[in-house]
Amino acid sequence: MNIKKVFEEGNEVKLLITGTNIALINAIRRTAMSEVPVLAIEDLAIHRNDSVLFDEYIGARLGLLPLKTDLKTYKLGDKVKLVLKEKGPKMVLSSDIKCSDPSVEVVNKEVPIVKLRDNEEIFIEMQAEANIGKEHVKWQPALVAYNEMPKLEGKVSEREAKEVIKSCPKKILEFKAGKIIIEKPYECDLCGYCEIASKGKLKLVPSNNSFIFTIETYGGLTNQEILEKSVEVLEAKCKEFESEIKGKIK
Amino acid sequence: MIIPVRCFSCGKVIGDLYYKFAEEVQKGRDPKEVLDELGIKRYCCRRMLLSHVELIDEVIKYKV
Ligand code: SF4
Ligand SMILES: [Zn+2]
Repeated sequence: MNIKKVFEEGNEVKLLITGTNIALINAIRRTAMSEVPVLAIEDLAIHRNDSVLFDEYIGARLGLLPLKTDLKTYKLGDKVKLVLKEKGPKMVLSSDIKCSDPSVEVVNKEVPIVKLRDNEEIFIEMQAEANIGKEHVKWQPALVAYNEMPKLEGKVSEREAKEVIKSCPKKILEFKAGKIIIEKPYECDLCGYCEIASKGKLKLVPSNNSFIFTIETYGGLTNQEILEKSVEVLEAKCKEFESEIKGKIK
Repeated sequence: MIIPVRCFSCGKVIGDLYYKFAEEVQKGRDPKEVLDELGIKRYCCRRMLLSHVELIDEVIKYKV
């Protein structure tokens, strides 16, 4: 297996993984999304809520905020206390939430929680818990996707090549040494316009051993941490399977 | 009522971008341009901002 980083922007990373199969890539994707622990607000004690939004409404909003998590201190099931106490008139933002542990903080500082009018008050004590995406989406650490690396097979003349290159809506095709190549395969959305423009001379074939793997963290963990942790979880599952199956079948 | 914290479809946090978006659009700028500038790529997230109606200021006048 060979992994190469092909794109990085903001929270998003795209990797080109070659020499593997779809089963493994899919296993990693699923573990990364549903088995990697991350902090999210779970329990609330609402002492005061004068705002126009219902308690449940505010609770749901708070739960969806991604929290920066240090996986060394927070293991599955660990809890931490937070508090939100504000007085109007003001727009209460996610940055107003105070945590008892300074290493834990909200990732997006300017998310509006609720708007308060003069003299309206809000006082909520919260408990965040480290849990996994399988339990609830708020514990999903990232958006993970993969697709098969596309390749154009077949030959066209230079004149035809011009047509084909023009037909691509993403403008990622190039003509090099008598062949059309996809210059940025991670941008290709497999729309097939190039195939149509070549009038059957080119064929868009998805590879079965190279993949473009996209991971976009919500900010609680880094992309690197999520992938490393997902491999760790997957490994532990395989080990468990191994020890369970030992000596059971002749 | 108030902008949702996350995109309904993909889960990207978009709540913190709404007021920046609304401010720019109110100045008369093309929403497409503003969305691109804010780095919102997927159309699921784009519709969250585009179709949002901010009603909290209307509701806040009343008491529960
Ligand atoms: S499938 Fe579409 S996006 Fe991909 S190279 Fe062909 S025309 Fe371009
Ligand atoms: Zn979205």
